[in-house]
Amino acid sequence: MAYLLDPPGLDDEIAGFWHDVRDAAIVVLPEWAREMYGYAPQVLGRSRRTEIRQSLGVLDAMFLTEPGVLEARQAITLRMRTARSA
Amino acid sequence: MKAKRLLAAMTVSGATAGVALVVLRRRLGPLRLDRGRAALRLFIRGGARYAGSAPRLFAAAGEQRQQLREDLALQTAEDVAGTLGAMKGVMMKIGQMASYVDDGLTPAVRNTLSRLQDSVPPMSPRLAAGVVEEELGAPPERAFARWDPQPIAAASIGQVHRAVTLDGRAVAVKVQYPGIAETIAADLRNVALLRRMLRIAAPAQDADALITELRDRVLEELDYRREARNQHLMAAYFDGHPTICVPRVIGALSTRRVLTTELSSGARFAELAGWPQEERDLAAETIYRFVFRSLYEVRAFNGDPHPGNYLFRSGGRVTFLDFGLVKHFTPAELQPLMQMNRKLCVEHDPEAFRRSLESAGFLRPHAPLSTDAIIEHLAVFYDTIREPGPLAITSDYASSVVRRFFDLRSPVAEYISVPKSYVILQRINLGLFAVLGQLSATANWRAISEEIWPFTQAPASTSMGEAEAAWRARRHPIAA
Repeated sequence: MAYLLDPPGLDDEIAGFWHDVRDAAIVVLPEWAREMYGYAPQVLGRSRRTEIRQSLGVLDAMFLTEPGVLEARQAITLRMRTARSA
Repeated sequence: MKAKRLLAAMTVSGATAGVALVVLRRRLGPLRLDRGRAALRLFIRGGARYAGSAPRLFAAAGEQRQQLREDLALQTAEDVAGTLGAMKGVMMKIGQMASYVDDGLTPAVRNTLSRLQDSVPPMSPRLAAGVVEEELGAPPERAFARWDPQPIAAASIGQVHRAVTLDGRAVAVKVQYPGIAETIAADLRNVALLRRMLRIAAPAQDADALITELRDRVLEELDYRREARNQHLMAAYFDGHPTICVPRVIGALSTRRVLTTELSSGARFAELAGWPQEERDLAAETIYRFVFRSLYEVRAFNGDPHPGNYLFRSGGRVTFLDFGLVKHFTPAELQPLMQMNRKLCVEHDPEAFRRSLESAGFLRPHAPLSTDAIIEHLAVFYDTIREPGPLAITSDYASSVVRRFFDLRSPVAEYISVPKSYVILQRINLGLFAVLGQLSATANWRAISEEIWPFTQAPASTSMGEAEAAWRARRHPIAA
């Protein structure tokens, strides 16, 4: 797990993204998983949460342009709207 | 326990591996040309100066309405934040800027940014109407005599509706997404992330300079009042010009988030491909005159010379749209530019040209380079104006300008820099020539430049030049 979350050899820019992904990944782990791997419970401040959200937004935008992803999301949005209005 | 361990590892590894794949994919890939697709989504089309034909123009300007996903329309300000927040709005702006930076981005990154623009649905009629009401103090149906609730085009941080004013003028109303200014301003404060993004997306570029320009530009664009002032300045100067048209701003109906201008119509850039070359040459001449007349006489440069900002009519008539990014120059800032043109192209004095470069800050003083090497490096930027005579600006030429601009391997490159005041003029090299190259435009650019340069003020060299000279004599008798 440590190898995955703190991989060696990343260059500075990717390491920066990775650091945000790492923090986000640890925060969403269930408590038992954090305990198992020895990660302390994290309390992220507002500005740090914003930073992480922004980093994930960049990555999300990249996924969004993968073939079919945008169309799938649009379909989901339409279904949710239909369900809400029903 | 083993299963749990596996599950946790899979969760984290799935996310991180996915991220890694995407990031690394974006880093790879050859450089290539692909510009302008997203830009063509901008703004309206329309026709002649509208006076007296508002209803007809109102209808005509909507005929070619683009397919905007109205079924996915953003319903609330929260939808806007969800769609354009978390850096996506900022990335869209980078995508717009990228259309000038051909060799700076990998195709994958360019495609991502372009597609991101396509992913933004329009505002719902109700949401757009809410912005109009907040800004103008009345719902659109009362603020205007006629209001089309469906947008006719997307703008980068808003959308354009057509309307008819209470006094009967057909207008285009640009309405900004609610909350977008605050969202984007907050995202722009994360400089570390911007730097990271740009270093990955455009490794050949100076990330800090790009960030500075990006922040300045985007923050300016968030306030439509600035754009209104710029457009008013240009419209006033070019009023009555034989081929240049700048739609007038309706000041009483323009605010920070709503910009109302005359409605215009005309062919879009993509349609020009089917026009005769003679018409394309005329359109190119008008664009060229607009850029350099603005620069030398209005001391202002519209930094958005991309294809989506033009509407074309026969005879070289061009309507110029979108003045969100206009750089204003002082006479002292323009002087070095004129000096360089004069020394290299008119007086053929390479040493004086070099001294001009140094004094303006483009070239480090006492660089250990021969003047010939410097001229050879920079000559491509002056190819169109060094010698008189007809010259075709091709896509190959435009690409060679861009390649030279980003050529960091040249021994000259490390001694060359662009002072901050002139950064926006890069758009001449990266935007204007790209547009003229797409038109394969031929003209005697040197002769046209001599008409415009304040230090030559040569007589008209074309029939368009003659018409322009007559206009200047009427409108600006002292300058003429």
